Amino acid sequence: MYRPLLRLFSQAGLAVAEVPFFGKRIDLLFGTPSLLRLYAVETKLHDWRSAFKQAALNQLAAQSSYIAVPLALATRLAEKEADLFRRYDVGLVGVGEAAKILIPARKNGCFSLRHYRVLKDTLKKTRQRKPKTIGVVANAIAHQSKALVVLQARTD
Amino acid sequence: MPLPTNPRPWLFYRLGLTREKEFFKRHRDTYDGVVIPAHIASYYHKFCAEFVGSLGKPYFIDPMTYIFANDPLQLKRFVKDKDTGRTERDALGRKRKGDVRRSYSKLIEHDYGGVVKTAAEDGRRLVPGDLTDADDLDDLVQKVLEFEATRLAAIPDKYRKYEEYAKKAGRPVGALSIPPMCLVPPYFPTTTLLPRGWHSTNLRLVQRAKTMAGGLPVFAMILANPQILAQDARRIGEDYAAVGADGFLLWPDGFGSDQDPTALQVVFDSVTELSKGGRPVMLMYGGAFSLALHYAGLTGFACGICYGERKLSTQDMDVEGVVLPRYYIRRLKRKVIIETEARRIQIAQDPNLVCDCVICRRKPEPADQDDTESREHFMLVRAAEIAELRAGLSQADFAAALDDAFQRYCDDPLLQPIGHLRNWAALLSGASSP
Repeated sequence: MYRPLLRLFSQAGLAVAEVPFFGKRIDLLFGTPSLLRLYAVETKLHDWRSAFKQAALNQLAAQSSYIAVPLALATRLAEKEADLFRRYDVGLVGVGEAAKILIPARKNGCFSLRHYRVLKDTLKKTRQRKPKTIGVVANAIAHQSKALVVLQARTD
Repeated sequence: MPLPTNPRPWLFYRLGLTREKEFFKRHRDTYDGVVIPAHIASYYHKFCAEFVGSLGKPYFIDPMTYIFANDPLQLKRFVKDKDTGRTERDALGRKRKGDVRRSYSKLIEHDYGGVVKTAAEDGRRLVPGDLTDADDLDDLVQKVLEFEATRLAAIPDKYRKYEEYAKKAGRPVGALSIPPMCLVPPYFPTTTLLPRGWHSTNLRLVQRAKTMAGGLPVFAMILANPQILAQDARRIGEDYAAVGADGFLLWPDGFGSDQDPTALQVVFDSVTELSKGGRPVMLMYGGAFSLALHYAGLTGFACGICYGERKLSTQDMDVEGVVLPRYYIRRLKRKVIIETEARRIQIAQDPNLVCDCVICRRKPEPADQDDTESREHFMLVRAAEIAELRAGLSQADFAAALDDAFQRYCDDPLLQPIGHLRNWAALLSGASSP
């Protein structure tokens, strides 16, 4: 799922996987070069509700927070659960060959400058790191490698 | 110190970090007793003796002997880089282990010795064969019981000066010593009831302990995973009763309150079985499900203050990482991380979730509470939950409250997971009162 998502958010500039955030990890975090704007994405194949909750928590630190699920599931959610997504300002991305925003995320009153700064500081540390290929990210996640703290991702 | 006189369920808190002492003192009316792990009683002897002495509550020492049947690597601490404070890693990226943790080292060297020390020196785990010889077994039982009975029972030096006052008041000085409420024989994990497993050894340990307990009650620790309990809880209970156990400490290995209905039922049935003989049954590492187990006949349960409500016996002793402060939501019988969940959920906005404990009245928004406040809130709320049970809350009413909370909040994505409420309610609705 990551490759289409990286293409979707390619304009953001920085892409980081598995970002630690208060005991959890944000699956994918995209940021503008100045880190002024952050986009958090939680990915799930089936259990979209747990991704939704995490996405709602990510709103504390990221201006835009999405869940990304397979396109068929996303289409169904866009039809049946649109109110829920709009009520919580969480965005929905469907992922097939390409990734597509079905419901846009909105910044809401939960955004906390303190939490944003925590995340921003974490991201600053990654800038000195050498970018890893998407395969490295996928492998590390598949093997639940504890060595994986912050990885920069690129699509090549 | 005799067993608690309060009606059941008894709540025992497990002493963890030494900075918890203030919680224990400030809220001494919210619990019935204290569990002190042997390595802490050994390493922080003076602190623990003063703690127990000043608290004046029933206590017992968990001998922690199961750890010696685990991979000896688990007794060792991680090696930290002196400059960065980070754990060092080997060439393969694995965390490096160093010496045996000092608290266990002291317990092994100075307190237990014998076969425990020999196995540690050999760098191997203890096996049932190490206790085949009756002398070795007796030696272990004697040392463990002596440790439990005397380690914290002596009057701390700090309080010696009061002996004079006691004499003048005509009170025997011996009354100032504080023996534990019960003794726990050495115990090891029951993974099978076959003769070569630990079960038969555990029984012999209890049997010998009964002859050496000096009149104190002997509570047998039953450490077994839910699969074993599902098959053999009745026989295990009967076996321990036959060797004279005065009570049971049940530790379903790795069991947590949020587990599937099958595991919940197994633990519920195990408590029912064990309590049939009228002996006290306490659940170790018990979470909020222990409240439901009251209706199975549970006498009491033990946990840490807002943590330690599940434990796997094979878990590494040297746990790394920060435990984030959590806030317990009484209605949902679950905790949320203060920094993220509590802040995002805005609990104070929902009158049904608002707590009226003294801490929450002072700071109504849980997201604003710090670790100390949230743990004090936990102690107060847990005490209130127990008071409800003691006041005679019926099984049906308890189940209805759980179900009501589930129905009300099952569609709120931020409050998930709360499936445990439905599972507990279903179990209590289907089970009959003992």
